[in-house]
Amino acid sequence: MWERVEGVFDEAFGRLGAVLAADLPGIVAMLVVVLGAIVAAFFVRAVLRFSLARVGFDRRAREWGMTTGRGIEPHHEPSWLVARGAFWVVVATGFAIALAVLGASTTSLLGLSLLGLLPRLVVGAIVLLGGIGAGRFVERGVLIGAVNQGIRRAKLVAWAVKWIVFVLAAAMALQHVGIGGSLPTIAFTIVVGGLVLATALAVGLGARGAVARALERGGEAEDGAGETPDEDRIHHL
Amino acid sequence: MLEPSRADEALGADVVIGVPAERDRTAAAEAALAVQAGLRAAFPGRTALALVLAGDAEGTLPPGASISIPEPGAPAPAIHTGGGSYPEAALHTLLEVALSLGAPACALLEPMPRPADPGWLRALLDPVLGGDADLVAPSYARRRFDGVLVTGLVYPLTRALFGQRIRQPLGRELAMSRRLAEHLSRDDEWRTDPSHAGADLWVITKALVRECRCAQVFLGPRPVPQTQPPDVSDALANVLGTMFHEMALHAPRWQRVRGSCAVATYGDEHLPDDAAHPPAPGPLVAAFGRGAQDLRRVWGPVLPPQALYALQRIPREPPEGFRIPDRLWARVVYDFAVGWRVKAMDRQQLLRSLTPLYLGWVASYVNEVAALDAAAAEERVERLGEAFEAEKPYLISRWRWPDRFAP
Repeated sequence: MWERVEGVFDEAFGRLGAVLAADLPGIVAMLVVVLGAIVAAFFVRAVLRFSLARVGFDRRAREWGMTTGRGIEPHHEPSWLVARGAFWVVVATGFAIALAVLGASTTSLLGLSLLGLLPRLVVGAIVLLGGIGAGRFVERGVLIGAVNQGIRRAKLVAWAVKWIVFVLAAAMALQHVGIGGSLPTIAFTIVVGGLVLATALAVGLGARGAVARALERGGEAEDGAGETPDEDRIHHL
Repeated sequence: MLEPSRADEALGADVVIGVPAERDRTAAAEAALAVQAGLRAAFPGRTALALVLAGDAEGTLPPGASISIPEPGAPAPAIHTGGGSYPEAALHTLLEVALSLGAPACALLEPMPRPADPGWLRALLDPVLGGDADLVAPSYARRRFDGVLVTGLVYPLTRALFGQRIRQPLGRELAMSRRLAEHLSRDDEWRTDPSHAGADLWVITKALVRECRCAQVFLGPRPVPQTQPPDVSDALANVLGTMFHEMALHAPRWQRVRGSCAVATYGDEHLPDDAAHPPAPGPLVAAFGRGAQDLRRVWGPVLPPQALYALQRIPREPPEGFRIPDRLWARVVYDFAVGWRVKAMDRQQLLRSLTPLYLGWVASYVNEVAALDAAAAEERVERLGEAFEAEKPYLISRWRWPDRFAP
């Protein structure tokens, strides 16, 4: 009886040892890759923090309106966020490579698919972030211009322009990542087309008189405050 | 082009006047001929030369080429060409020519019809030829509501920064000595920053920074009204952009200046009668109100909370009672200068966002000056200049330690 039990255990440990011996190189390789990825991530973070500080990334982000530049914790500045994002991207890439080098068929497939997705995710995130920055910059420019031109609903106009840029950036990012296939493009087209149609209907039906008056005034500001008021009596230069 | 290295050669010209050909070369040539005739009458014993300064980006015209004007029998003035866009680059060409000819005085004048009496030329150039001044800025008699951008911003700011009271620093016309011309022609900014070099404010600030002897001369009413910008915010961004740029360049210099003194003034000031009905402040106050309502978030990174609160608290009804205190206005301008320096946002957007505040100040000025005569209005402008001087320590503190004052 005990001899049979001993034989079973011997065979089980033998099989375990064989499996471990077969998979150990893959596990070691995975650990090496993960460790290397973590080291590389720290290196990338340090390089990014240094180079972004050198090019004045935080100042440029403030200029573009991505941040207000006020009340930001030191570790919440845009350069820190970018460096931290790059850190985790490198770590995730390392894990994906580690899964691929492990050797098991399912993990290898998962790792390879993650590896294929990561660059598209990074580029999509950059497109989205760029779109957010551009949207806020354009919003501020439109707001200032509209206020200076005497347009009453300046905030609304600026808000609409900002969201059009945001939606465009989001659609571009989604399309690049490959989420939703052609759905983002169709959705974006429908939204923008709908907005244009709604505006055209609203202006055409609801504000015919106002448009006629505006055309008669030759596109002048609503009450003339954006131009030189009393032009014949005030000379700025 | 004549070589500036030949500046030591005195070729005989005592005065060189340049007339930039902005759009119409014929008009510039006619103006140059009129100035030439005036120079002969004003300075009979001296050799004087009036030139047309024209741009020639393609390089098709030889330097010093003559152009024809439609009046038969009239002599053609010399035309000197230079690279770059005119009239901005005209000063550089004038300096080159004047230094090449060894002229002790030169002037840049606008192409406009001039009075037949050459006395105005003597008034403009005598201080330079007599060795009493390096820079003479003409001061034209203007109505109370002419040049309000100069009155409310440029004059008090240059006065507080550099300590000399030149009333019309944006005159677009200047007379200068050979000493100043040499300084200007050697300036590195012609090469490093050609977008600012050559502007009238650039010349004035360079002269003030180098402690050249500045003077102003009253020339009576301007023959042709100054061209007005189609958009106020464009003019504001342009003028203040140059001003703040010069502030940043010469910060160590202006931080040492305290108070101000009057510059040597020639001629009699004839303040024009301005009995016309003053402009209505309503649209200006409405523009200010729209800015206060919609641009609060834009002004947030630039203005401290106290200034924002003070601006919000100003009663806007009735428009005739609208007032912006001088000290608050001075601080607002200084805050925008600091915001420009630290790049609190895109600089063009920053400068354009000042427009509603500026229009609000114009409304306040209109309300205060409407009942005053020209002399009393000038006194009011002097009080504004004193307020800018009084608030200069605030500017210096914020300029040196912008984060300490950050809201």
